[in-house]
Amino acid sequence: MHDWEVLFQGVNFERLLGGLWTSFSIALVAVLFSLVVGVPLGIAAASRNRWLRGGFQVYLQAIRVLPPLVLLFVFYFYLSLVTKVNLSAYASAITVFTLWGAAEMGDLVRGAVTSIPKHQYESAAALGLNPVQVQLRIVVPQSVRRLLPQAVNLVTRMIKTTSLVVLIGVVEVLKVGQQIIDVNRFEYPSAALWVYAAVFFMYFAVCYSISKAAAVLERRLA
Amino acid sequence: MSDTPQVLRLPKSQPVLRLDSVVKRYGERTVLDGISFDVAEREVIAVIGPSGSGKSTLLRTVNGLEPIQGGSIRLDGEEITAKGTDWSKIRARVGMVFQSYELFPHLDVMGNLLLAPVRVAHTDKAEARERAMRWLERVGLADRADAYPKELSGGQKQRIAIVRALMMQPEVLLLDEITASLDPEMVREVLDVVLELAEEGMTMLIVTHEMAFARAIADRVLFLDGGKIVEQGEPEAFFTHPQTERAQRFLDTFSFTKAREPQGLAR
Repeated sequence: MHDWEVLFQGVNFERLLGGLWTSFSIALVAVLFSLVVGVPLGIAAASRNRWLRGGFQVYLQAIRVLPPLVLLFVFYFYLSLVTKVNLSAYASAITVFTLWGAAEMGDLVRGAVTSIPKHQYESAAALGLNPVQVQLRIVVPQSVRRLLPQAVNLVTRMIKTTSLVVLIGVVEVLKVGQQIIDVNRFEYPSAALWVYAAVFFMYFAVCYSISKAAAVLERRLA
Repeated sequence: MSDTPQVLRLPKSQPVLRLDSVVKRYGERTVLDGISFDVAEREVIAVIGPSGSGKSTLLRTVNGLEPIQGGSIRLDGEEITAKGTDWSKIRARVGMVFQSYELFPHLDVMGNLLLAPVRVAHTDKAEARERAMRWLERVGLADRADAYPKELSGGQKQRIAIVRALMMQPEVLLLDEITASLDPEMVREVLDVVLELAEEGMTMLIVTHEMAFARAIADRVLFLDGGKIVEQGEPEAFFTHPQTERAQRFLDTFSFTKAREPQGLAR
């Protein structure tokens, strides 16, 4: 009997995959919300209006100095104490990851938009393109290209950081793994090794395929 | 010649461009201090002067990249500096080429050339493509239609930038120090294109530091200093006998006299 067989006992593997989906779905939903919120936020932060710029910096720095774990606790435990809002662990996780993702995505968008030289706007305008066309045909395509590598990096970071949500009781891939290890400790003494290895490869498979897909996309756009 | 593209010519009785007492200020600083001149159809005007004299700013006021604080600019008699001007429409008629080429890096050469004709002028794409290919052949870059800007040399980029402006069949072409960031051996290939355009009657306003080029191409030279036209005239007269001391001093900076005796073994 090999200890690695623990992975395929009963529904263990399906459970791990289910846990992975929980992790991944938190990240996926948060990334989608982050894009929806972060892109306009970044465009606003790239504007000349100092209030927009300043406001965004306050938000960004606030999110950056707070550990995601603290934010998770705030939204899961503290929010329900001081308000009537009682978020589920899953909803708290998505909220926190969206707050984080939107701030970072906003900063990436801001960086990409402001890195487009003024002369690019001018030469497009000089050809007779109207301001909307300048944005759509010149600024957006170039920004997306500059943005893509860092945005993918952010997405994989968000996926990996979802492992924290176990601490507010979300049963994600790592938690499922621990449960499997605990149940099988006597029957399969080295279960921990195999389960964590499986979890490792699952994270790797997800994050590496995202990186690869992004690299292909980048090459196609370049 | 019938199948090679030609610059657009319209019969005109009035100047293509008329600047009248144009004033441009950045805060307290006056960059253009009452500039007035006309540009006739087919005329080539070289604008020269020391850096900071307002040459580039002058060019940029003509297509509205710099708003002006006083005076007026007329294109074909129509005041384009009036309130409510749709600059996009004006710019489609006034071509501009920049010092740093400013091709769009995410588009290939053809994409750069087709963008404005297709999106702004709503030219049929096939027709625009045909026009682009003919221009590319003329400037010797027909084989680079699919290349991206980063794959081109500076001289090639600048020739493409010129063609990109010409694709809109502009009534006037503004050239803003188009050879200033080129390696010396690439200057020629760009200037040759401009010389050819001049021969064909393209109306041009050229800001340049290439004095020999200005002398060869211009019908008239404007010498700017401190935001004013200090002197203007025919290039031969201007370059050989400038009337003002300021212009003389400026031209002197382009010639060198031997500063020291020959040294070393040859002595």
